Amino acid sequence: MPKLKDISNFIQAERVLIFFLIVGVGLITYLLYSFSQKPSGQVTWKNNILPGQTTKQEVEKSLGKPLKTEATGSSNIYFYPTQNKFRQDQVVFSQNTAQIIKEQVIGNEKGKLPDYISKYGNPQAIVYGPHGFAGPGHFWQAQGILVFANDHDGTIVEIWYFAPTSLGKLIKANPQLSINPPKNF
Amino acid sequence: MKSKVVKSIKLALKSFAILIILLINPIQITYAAQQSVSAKAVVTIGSAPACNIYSIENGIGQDGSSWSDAEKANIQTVCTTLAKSPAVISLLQAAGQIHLARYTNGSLGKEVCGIQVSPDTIEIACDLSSVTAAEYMITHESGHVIQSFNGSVYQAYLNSGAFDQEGLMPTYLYSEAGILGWGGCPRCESFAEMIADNVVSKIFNFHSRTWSGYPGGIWVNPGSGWTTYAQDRPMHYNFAKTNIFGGVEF
Repeated sequence: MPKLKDISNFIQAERVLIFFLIVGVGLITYLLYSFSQKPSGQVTWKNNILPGQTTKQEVEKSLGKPLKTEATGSSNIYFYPTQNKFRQDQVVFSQNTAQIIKEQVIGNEKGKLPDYISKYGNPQAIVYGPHGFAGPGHFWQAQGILVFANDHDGTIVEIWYFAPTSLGKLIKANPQLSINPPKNF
Repeated sequence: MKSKVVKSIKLALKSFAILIILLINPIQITYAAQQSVSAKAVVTIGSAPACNIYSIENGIGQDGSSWSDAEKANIQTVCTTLAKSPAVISLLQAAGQIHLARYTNGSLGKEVCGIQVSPDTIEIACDLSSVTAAEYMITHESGHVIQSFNGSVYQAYLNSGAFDQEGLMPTYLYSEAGILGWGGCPRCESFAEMIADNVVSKIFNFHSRTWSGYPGGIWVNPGSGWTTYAQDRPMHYNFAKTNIFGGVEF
């Protein structure tokens, strides 16, 4: 004959199990939902613009008409204003879809390089591009971002957003990028 | 019955803890910082760095060379000149020590005198026995070091609009297309040239530059359409004066 205390413990243990079960199911549901919204942790740009998915019409609806546009080969570039009149964000479209976004960072509004490292871990690669040693590109593949930031004071000068892709493909599509350190004459 | 329940709870707790750990601490892919310097190694001569900023070194390898006494003295003069501005010294000190390695004249490429091969390492392959040539070349390359270690200053330069409004500094050897051709960074070169020109524009005989139309000579009425650096490229001049040299003029 079980004692009253045993019954009480059993009920409490069951409650604990049910609690963890609910939390676990909730977490799994949340993760499944998140992954179904965007591929593998890809970082969105402002107003949830997602390179590789958001169309030109959706960008215009979200950000309005661009300051100017440029056509280069099969791509179109839309320029949008920032807080600095000399530096404009660029949205590069190919086949009517935003392929890459080049966001100009004016101050510390996007944080510092260590913030990204603590959030996403060490970058998978360092590449050099429009800012040389002053702002090497820190490549996070799964997030689809390239953060051009100074390695010494962490200042971020530019961020590129793209659909997650390999470093090789990113460099092939953007020949100004290189894994080799630049030579500044 | 009781032990069975306790075991179940322990198992549930363990599974939950593992789930939480996996969620908040995903396996991180390590990366090798690709900041290796040139394949050419350098060795320090003696133990006394110039001005506590520059480490004067011999280049090694088949193109390695050594500094002449006149060149060493000129590097000391560069330090003395720059020391008029505590602000620029402070920016340079962010690099710790700047390595100046000497290579055989012309070994870095046609018309190439100096190269920044890593954030704190400069290779020189030309005659710097003229003090003004040394001041021009060392301050230009030091400009690259400043941008490499002071990202906020480089960002301020981008924000200033100097490059967007005035373009690449006209005394620089190559055009913007030329810089992009070797995979360089036009804004980085203009930043470095701006710093050099704030120091030497009134004393250094620049070569003429076909791409910009700069006629050559010191930048004091060098030819038709040109007056002084401060007047011809005021945004660059004033940015460097204020943000690099702390108000000091040369």
